[in-house]
This record gives sequence, structure tokens and C-alpha cells, in this order.
Amino acid sequence: MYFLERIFYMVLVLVGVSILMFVLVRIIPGDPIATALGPMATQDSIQKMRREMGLDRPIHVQYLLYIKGIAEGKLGLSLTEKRDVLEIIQEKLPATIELIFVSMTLAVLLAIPLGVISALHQNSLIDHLNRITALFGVSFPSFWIGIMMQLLFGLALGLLPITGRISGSPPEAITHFYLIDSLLTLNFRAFWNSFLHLILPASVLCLSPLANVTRLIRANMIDQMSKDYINVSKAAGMSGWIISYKYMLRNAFTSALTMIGFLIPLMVGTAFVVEKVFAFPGLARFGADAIIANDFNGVMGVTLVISVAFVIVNFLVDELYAVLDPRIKLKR
Amino acid sequence: MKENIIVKIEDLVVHFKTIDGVLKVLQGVNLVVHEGEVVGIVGETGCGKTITAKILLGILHIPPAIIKNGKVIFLSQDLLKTNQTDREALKQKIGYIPQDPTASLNPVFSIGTLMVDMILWKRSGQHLGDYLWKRRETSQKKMAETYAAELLDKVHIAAPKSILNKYPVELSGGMRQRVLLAMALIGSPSLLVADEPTTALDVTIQKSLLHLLQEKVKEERLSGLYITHNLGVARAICHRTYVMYAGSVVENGVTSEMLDQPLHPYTKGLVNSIPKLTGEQFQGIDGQVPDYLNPPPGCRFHPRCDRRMEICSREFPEMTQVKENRSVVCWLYH
Amino acid sequence: MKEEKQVRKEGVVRGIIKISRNKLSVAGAIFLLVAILLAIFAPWVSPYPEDAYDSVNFGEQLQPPGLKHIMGTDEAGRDVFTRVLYGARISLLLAVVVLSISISIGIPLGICAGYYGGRIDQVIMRMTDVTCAIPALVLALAISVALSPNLFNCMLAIGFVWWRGFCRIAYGETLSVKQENYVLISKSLGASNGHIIFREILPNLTSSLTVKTSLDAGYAILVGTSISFLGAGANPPTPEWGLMVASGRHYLPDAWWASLFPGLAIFATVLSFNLLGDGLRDYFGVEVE
Repeated sequence: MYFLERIFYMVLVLVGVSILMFVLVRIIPGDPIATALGPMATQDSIQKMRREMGLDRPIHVQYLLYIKGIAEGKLGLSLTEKRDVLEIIQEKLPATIELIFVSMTLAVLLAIPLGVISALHQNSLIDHLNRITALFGVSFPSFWIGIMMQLLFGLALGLLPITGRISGSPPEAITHFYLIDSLLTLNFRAFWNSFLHLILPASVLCLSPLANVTRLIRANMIDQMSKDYINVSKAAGMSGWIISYKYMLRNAFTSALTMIGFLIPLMVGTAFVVEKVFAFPGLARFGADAIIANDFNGVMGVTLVISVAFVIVNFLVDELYAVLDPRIKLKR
Repeated sequence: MKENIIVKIEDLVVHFKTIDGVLKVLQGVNLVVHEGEVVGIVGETGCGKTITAKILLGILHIPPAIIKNGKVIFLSQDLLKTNQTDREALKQKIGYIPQDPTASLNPVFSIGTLMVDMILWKRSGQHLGDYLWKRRETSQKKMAETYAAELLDKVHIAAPKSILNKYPVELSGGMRQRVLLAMALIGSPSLLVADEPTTALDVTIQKSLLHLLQEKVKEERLSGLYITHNLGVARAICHRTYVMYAGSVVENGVTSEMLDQPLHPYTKGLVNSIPKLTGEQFQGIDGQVPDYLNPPPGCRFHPRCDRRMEICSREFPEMTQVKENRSVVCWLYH
Repeated sequence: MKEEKQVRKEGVVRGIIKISRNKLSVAGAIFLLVAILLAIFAPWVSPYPEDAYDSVNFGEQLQPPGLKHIMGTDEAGRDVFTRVLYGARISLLLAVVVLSISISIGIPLGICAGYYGGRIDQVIMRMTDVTCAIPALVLALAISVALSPNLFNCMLAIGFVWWRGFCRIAYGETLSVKQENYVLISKSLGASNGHIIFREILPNLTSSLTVKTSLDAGYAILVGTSISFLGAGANPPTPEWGLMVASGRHYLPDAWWASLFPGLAIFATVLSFNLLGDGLRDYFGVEVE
């Protein structure tokens, strides 16, 4: 019963989002088809294309046709890349997922110890340093810090590659995630190479979530310190380590989960810029180009992916919540 | 009553730093608990009784609290001067029963997890490596669970083994408090510190819990420090009681004797505030609890005292030992 | 009444003391003030005001920072420092526009949803949820392009996306205040809806609203400059910071100053908004995203 409710709600959101974007990309001034076909195109060919893409029909018909197309596995022709959007998604989505996954893992893995240490040693040097670095982290414009890091680590120091996903041939495609595929096929060169390519973009992408999650964990841990059940453990002489990392952290992290779920869409947005700066061949870069070029099928495709991902992430976060906090599980 | 002293608090002075200034809360608390007796601390909310208990338990947050002076001696060691490891070892000998059973059990862990953690920690002699190893060992875990079930049985919880798998939210208030009592008994402590443990419970459960406490104290031969604002409870369960007002002890003695014939004007006022069945108009005590920021000079009770003298507003009274185990801190008796 | 005012005054004084203890927020506030002043007086303070928009000095192209041009010149020979100062006007204006739009849409909607509940609640909150599913940057980018990309449309676009955050906090606050006893009592005494909204609910909102405004101003500038960087916002020759970083990018790594300084300006401005917001957050004791 509970699941049905949630599924219904999620479908509602998906439909709402698709309608919103659908309308948005069609009310643009100018003629994207003419631009796509180039200055040499004749009026005839432009009109022909318009008819082919269904742009001469009323908008609600267009929408229904589009939904029908999805069911058939056709997401429409992309004006920027001249092929079906589904193909583009299949090709570019893994790259973006890999990037976001690595960034998020980095952010959370670093934020937990930093947050805990800051809370346990409030107002110490480490705490202040953390706070300042966190503030810096959320204030950098991602495109600018990306460029600066390219200059510093790529060009000045020559340590890291600054564009692309890999140099040389990619590993054999099993999951399309270079890191996993290269490990599975024991292709260590490809692993190391793709890892190096991920470092800079992932670092830029994780700055903002890292700062937010650290601050949140710190605040939650401090909140835990005044809890009665912690006092009971302290009075029993339990080890400080157990109290901090088992008793307090569990509660602190659970409260941080909703924010972490909320941060992933934010990361996706930043990815649009980061992939552009680092010429990372992911779906976000395609999305940015598509929006600017009024590639409506491309934009719809990307929107679909984003909203489905949003729904999935929300679902996962809710489930994780129930696992970590038995009160939620029992309420159901 | 044996003469072994379990707890001795001498001249404890504690201040609190806040945004508004320094609160001079504890003004010189003197307290003794002998082996085998239950000592009560009675007083209004805000008189400092919980702070005293917290210092004994080692759970007072030291900034913002500042311990200006005094000794807190437990089993012949001054807790204020011991290092962390020794302190942790001593904590094993004190059991704590907190006030609010709902807030005192970590909601995301099962009762079993909480109890086994404590049991194995005590068993490993507060050694982290040893604890971690024991925690992973099935046989150790089973032994700990058996012991936990035994303790739960001791506090009259039915079907103790099944309770181990439950979460605090699944238990009633009374059961949670019993679980806390069981946890306090882990490792056979010498002293039980109870901070108004029945306040958050229904009246009917209060009674049964009090009986349970008395029973365990006798069975396990524990000493007890019982904090309450309820004179009736103190009379029922405490051999001797200290009355605190505004950060210091004003009177102490054998409970029934002291409450039948109170010496200090404040104690008299407390006793008279209890509505009596004879239907007389009951009296409160005029005035309000003093401001710790700027406490009244001399005896802190003097502004509210109907028998104050000139010296009361100048100097803090010295303690007068009326007889063995009976003293009062008031100029009237000096 | 007088006592209330006295207590409030004491509270404000205590608050100021509390904030000034936090030196970082004070630093943030000061820098912000400086930035605002520089922005307002840019035409008088900048060394080459004619370079702000449309001027081409072929002889001076891509000069490194030096005595004549403390931040160097860009690809059209314009003084970067001047353009950075003018850029402050644009970005600060953007923050003001975006926040005005989003607050004036978001807060009333949120309060209505929370207060009247039922159908209105469902409709408004579902709309909010739908707009939350897409990242702010993406949606704003799409709207900006849909409206035809220029600076003003970019501001509108971000404003239209931003209202969801304010709607949410207004909604949450309204819900919690609605349950409070003093509101129920007011209602039973016959207070009108308007009275309750303005006298009880709004004042409770002010603390989280102030914090959120300060933090969001910084974030709006980040989104705005990102959109211009991608090419869907300000158009040349506007001295918009994001656009300047994008144009300067073509001349890296040699002419590093053309991209560095505008980006640094963005960073400094956003940082000061964040410092201020952080300090306000501590002062009010509020937890705002």
C-alpha cells in the first residue's frame, strides 16, 4: 500500500517534469531546424524536416506522440548529433554516472571523518580550518575553479590530464563504466588512465557537497552530544571511540541522509558546467549543448534521465533511512 | 550501618560560564554516602542536585562548567584528580539511572546491542582492541546475551530474551526504566545514582519501580544516591537525606527524623508545603529561587527566610553538627 | 508593550555582540559593503570607464597586469579591472532581481499552501516538487534559452526557478506555527486570517528568511555566472563575470589574467555572502539548507 502510493506520486512528478520541459523547449523564438540544417538549406527541406519531426501538429498531440515514441524505444532525433537520442544516452550516460558516483563517494567519505573530528574538537584549529575550507568550497564558481585547476595541475605542474575521459583506447565494454570494466578485464593501464582523468573533474564536483555534508555532520554530532542516551553511555564509562563512532555517528549520519539525497540533483546541475570545462564526454555536456542549441529531443531525453534518476535516488534514500533507523521501519 | 565511606564530596564549588555571565551554582557542597545506605538529595528544580550527581558520574560538560574547588572522593579516590583511564575504570563501579527513560536509550540500536556493548566493554577491561575482538566473537556475544537476559530477569521483565531483540521505541515507559536499571546493574557496581527516575512515569508504575529499586539495593548490597524533589519518595527509600537549596546543603539527617522535625527554615517550608489530609491551608515559601548570576550575599536563603537575622545577609553560615549524622547550615543553630 | 520593546532591544544588542564575536561574518559583511559601494560608484572609481562595454583598443590587447592596468587587459584591449568593477553591478543586480522575484512568488505561495491546506496545499506543493526534480542550473538554463538568451532573461529565469526554496520554508514554518497554541487561541478569539498571517506567521519566518536570502544571493550569482559562462546569459560586450571567464578561456594559458580576475571576483563576492549568511545562521540558530 505504501509502495503504491509512492510509485503513483513519482509517476506524477515524472509526468509533470516532462510536460514542463516539453513546453519549455518548444516555445523558443527562432527556428532550431533551420539552424541545424545549416545556411545552405532550402525552405523545402526545412519544412520537410518540420513535418517529419511532427512540429506542425498541435502541442498536446506532439506530447502524446513523444510518449508513444518512448514506449517504442525511440526518443527522437537529436538536432545537434543527428542520431536518435536513445543512442546518445546509452553512449554518454555511463560517463556521467561514473563521474557523479566518484564525486559523491569522495565527498561523503571525506565529510564523515572531517565532520566528526570537527565536532569532537570544537573551536580547535582543525575545526576552524574545516569551517573556512568548507566556506571556500561552496563559494568557488565551478567553472572557474575547474579552469584554475586545469592551469595548475595540468599545465603548470603537468601532473594530471585536463580533458576527456581517457587517452588511448577504452577498456572492453561490459558495464560501460571505465573503472569497473578495466578492473574486470585486468586492463590496469586503462584503469589508471581513466582514474587520472576523473580526478580533476570529480574534485571540482565534490567541493560543494563536501562542504555541506561536513557542516551537517558536525552540527548533527554536536546535537548528539547533549542527548541523554549519550550521557548514559558516558556514565557507564564506555569508550569515547565507541560513543562517537558508533552511537553518535549513526544518528548523525541518518539525519544527514536527506540532505545527501538532495545534493545529488545539485551535483547533476554542476556537472553540466564541469563536463563542459573538462570536455568530459558525458550526458551533462550533451545536455548543456542541447539546451543552448534548442535541440528539443535532446533536451527531453536528458530531462527524462534526470527525473528518473531523481526518483530513483529519492527511493534509495528512503530505503536507506529505514535500514538505518528502525523507528522508520517500524512505523510502516 | 557500616562505616566504610563510598562517596565523600567536600566543599564542591562549581561555576557555569554563560553568555550572560558566570553562574555561581554550587557553593560548597558537602556530602557523604556510607556503604549499604541510600542517601537522598532533595530540593527544588535548579538547586544544583543534578549537577552534583553529574559530577560524580563524570558527565558534566566541563566547559562551560568550571570546577573551582572541592573534592569528589569515590572509593578513596578523588575523581577530580584522576586521569581518564582510571576515571573510566571507576565509572564501571557506578550505575546510573536517568530521569527520562525515553530519551535515555539510543533509539537506533536494539536493547541487546546496547547491553552487550556495555557488558563486553566492562569485560575487556576498557581496552578497545580487546573489546573489538570480543564483539566479533560469537561465543563472547552469546555469553554477554545470557548475562543480559539474567539482568533483565532480575528486574522482573518477562521474556527477557525476546526483549533483547527489540528497539526502545517498542517498549513501554516502565519497561524502558527497568531496562535502564538492568543496565545500571551490569558489572555489579558499588554505587547506584538515580536522578529522579520515576518522574517521567505514571503513578502506578512509580510505586512498582520504587519497590524494585529497594529490592535490588538490598539484594546486591548497593549503596545509593537518590535525587528527588518528592519528600514522600525520599522518606520511603532513603535512609539519610540531604536538603539542598541554591547550590549548597542546608540540612541533612536521617530522613524520617529530619522530615518530622525539620531544623532549617527552608526544610520547614518544604515540609509545610505538602498538602495535608487534615485540610489546613497549605503554605508555600515566599519569594523565588535566587539568581545564580548575582546570588544574595551570606546565606542564599535569607531573602525568603522569616527568621533571618542581621548576620544572615553578611556571612555564609557554618555547619552545625547537631548530633551524629544530623547537621544544619544555619545561623539560628550556631 | 514597552517591556516588549525593551526586551527586543536588549536582544538586538546581544545579537550584535554575538555576531561581532564571529570575526569571519564581520569580514564578510564588510567586504560586501565594499563591493556594493564599488559597484555603485564604479563609473567614478574605475580607471577606464569607457572600457566597460564597447571599446576596442587594438594596441593594448592582452597586456599582463602592470602599473597601467592592474589586472591586465582582455582580448579587445579593455581594462580588466574596470570591467570587473562594472561586473559587480551586474551580479549584485542579478542577486537583487532574482531574490525579489523568488521571494515575492515563493513566500506567499508557501504561506497559502500551509495555511489553507487541502487542495491548494496539494497543488502548490506538487508544483514545487516538480520544479525540484530538475537541478536549478538546468531549469534556469532552459528557461533562459527559451526566453531568448540575454542577461535580463537570465535573471528572470533564475528567479522563476528559485521560488521553490522560499516556498518550502514558508510552507514548513506556516505549518508549524499553525499548530501553536497561541495561534489557535487567537483564532478562537476571532482574529482574521490576515491578522494571523501577518502578525504571527511572518515574524517567525524572518530569521530563516534572512539567513536564506543571504546564502541564496551568493548561490544565485554562481548560477547566473555559470549560465553566462555557458553562453545562455549575458551577451558580449557586457562585462559580466561569467562571460569574461568564458571569453578569456580562449587565450589560456598565456593570458591567464583575463579569466582569473573575474572568477576571483565571483569567488570573493559569493564568499562574503556565505560568510554573512553563516554568521546570521549562527546568530539565529537556524538550520537552513
